[in-house]
Amino acid sequence: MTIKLRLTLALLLTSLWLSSPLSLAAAEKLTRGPYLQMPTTNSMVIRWRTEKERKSYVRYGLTPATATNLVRSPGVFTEHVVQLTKLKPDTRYFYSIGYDTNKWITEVGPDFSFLTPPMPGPARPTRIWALGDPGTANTNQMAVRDAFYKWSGRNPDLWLMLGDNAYSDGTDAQYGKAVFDLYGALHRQVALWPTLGNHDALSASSPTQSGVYYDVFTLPTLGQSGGLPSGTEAYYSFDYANIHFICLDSQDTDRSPHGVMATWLRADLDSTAREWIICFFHHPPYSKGGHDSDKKSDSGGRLWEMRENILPILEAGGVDLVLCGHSHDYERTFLLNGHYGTSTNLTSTMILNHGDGRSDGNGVYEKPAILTPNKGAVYVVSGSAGQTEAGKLNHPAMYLSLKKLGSLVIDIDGLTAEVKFIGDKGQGRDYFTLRKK
Amino acid sequence: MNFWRWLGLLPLLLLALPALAHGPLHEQITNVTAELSLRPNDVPLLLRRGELNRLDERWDAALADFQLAKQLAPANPEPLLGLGRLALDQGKLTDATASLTRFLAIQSNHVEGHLLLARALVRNQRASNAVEHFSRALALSTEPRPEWFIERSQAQFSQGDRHLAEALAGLDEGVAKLGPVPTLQLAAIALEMRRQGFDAALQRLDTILASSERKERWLLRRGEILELGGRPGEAVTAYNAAREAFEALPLRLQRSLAMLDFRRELDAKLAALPASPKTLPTK
Ligand SMILES: [Fe+2]
Repeated sequence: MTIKLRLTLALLLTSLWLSSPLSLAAAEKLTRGPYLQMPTTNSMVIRWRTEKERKSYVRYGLTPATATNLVRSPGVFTEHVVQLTKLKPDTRYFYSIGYDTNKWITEVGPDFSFLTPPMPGPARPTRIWALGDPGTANTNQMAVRDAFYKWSGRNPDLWLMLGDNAYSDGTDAQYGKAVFDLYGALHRQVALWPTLGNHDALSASSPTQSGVYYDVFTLPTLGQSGGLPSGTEAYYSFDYANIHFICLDSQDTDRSPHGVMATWLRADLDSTAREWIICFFHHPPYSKGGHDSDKKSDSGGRLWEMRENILPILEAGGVDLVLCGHSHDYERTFLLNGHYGTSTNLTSTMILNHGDGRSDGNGVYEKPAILTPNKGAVYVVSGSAGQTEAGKLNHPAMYLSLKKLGSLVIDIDGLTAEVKFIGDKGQGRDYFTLRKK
Repeated sequence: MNFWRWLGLLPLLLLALPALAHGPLHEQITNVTAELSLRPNDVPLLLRRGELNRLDERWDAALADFQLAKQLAPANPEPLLGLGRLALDQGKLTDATASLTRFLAIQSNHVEGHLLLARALVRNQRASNAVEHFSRALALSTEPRPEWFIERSQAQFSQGDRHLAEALAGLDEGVAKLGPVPTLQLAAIALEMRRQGFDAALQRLDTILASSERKERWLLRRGEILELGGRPGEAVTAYNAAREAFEALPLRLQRSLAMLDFRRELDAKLAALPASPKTLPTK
């Protein structure tokens, strides 16, 4: 039985008082998770893996003491997928996972709790953490992670992985180390939103929607978390407060301008009423790092095609930020519009603001609060959350290009987005502001 | 461990360095080549390098790897799949069809095999055969993609209008399996319009309307379909509904350039129809 089918069969036993004492079955070997997936304003998917085939139970509530609502998925599995439903938006829930009504594997407490997303629409301060090409599972990846944790001092509200999430082949064991173990504590509290990179694709196939990447993630195909149904986990969208997120598959899905993904993207952009639009995918439309977006042959033409075919749709739809990885460095553009050719074809009029985008520099990047097509977007390559590599780093659309480890933080508060690139020792290596007025 | 024993390990460490770098395709190819130098007849390694070479568009190298793998393991179907993928990438449709047909003769339940063969057949103007293999892939897959249903309907429709009903039924199979996915419904609406199935097109449009937070564009489309169906009165109602949906939008959305175009378009449509307000009230 597929994971999705099991999810739909998940049985809800609400408000069932447990008759047995809440003992911890410490002997049970948990081999992955728990980790959260596909949050909506009224539901959350909790997944985990056990060494032996077991039943899947979750108990949850508004406090650790009242975490007594019981949900189970029928059957016995090593791969457990349970969806909690009928939750309230913007509310913290505490949970424990187990394999029987009195066999609990985890404690109930703040470490095992999550906040459901707020209702889409109204603004609220939101912190987004984006990691590009993190999956080396080495000390670089750990340093970037720890630097963010220390710098932030709190969990992000959302986190994104920009592809190449687990090196070198995106195998299940590599995902275990580089994705699930390395960020274990965060996975228990905040759901990860991933996109597929070329290395992930070595163990997964978008054309057949199978393999490790598709097995380990539960992603919205029917607009469950906001956005228009895509019918596939390869590309999808979701809402959080006043932000619309779009995840595209630049690796293994048809990137032609009238392909199915492009058709969906147009309709999805037409359907959103959010104030901010953030799009993320793996192959950067502009890069002169480990990859060269001027070379049509680079990565099978993926960088080129995303730029030529997909960027016009995104910009016409009013996209604000585009986040990518693939080149293992940091490259960040000026406020840009209409640059669909090679770097030699970049003209001054395509750069809508030639400054640094900084409030303490020569001014923040401004866009109209009215959702207007083609008023500029900033394109960020943040592909150094696990390693760096050499490159010319001289794309003329970039305000800044760095061969430095780090990860990206986006703080959105109302009509202001503060974007920062945080280095592996917590250094603020770049920052800029995008403001709508 | 003493210095000399460390030194003895140096070649191994150097060999492992590219693996740690996890760089682009050519580095992975170098890694696999290093492994192959130790085990030159390792079929899984040859298949892996063949696949990496294919992804890197090193066609001749990929071909050599797959052919050697086939020679070393004649009963193994995997080299045939690799050869099929490779030939399809190169546009060698006859070769692709031959390899994939032989692959499927051994592995008849392989979803990707059927999809690849269907695509080769479409490009080779053999739509009817392609439909069979799309259908087989769809039947075998627990998680088919909307693209496959659309590709199959295109292959069906490409054989002429008499295949329209079949093409629509295939898209409906997709809706039944995946849910109300707008890309499936948009493809179906285009086919419905071709056979003047206006009511059916409207019903399909309603499913998109239901899943879309913003309705104004879909309501405009509704009016257009009604007009084409010779129902101007209902078209006016739909256009008015589009106007109401537009007016319910926050001002920041109403005043966008795209929405200004939308208003102009809606104005023009309403103005061209009888018994309707000539223009939208200006805010
Ligand atoms: Fe990559």
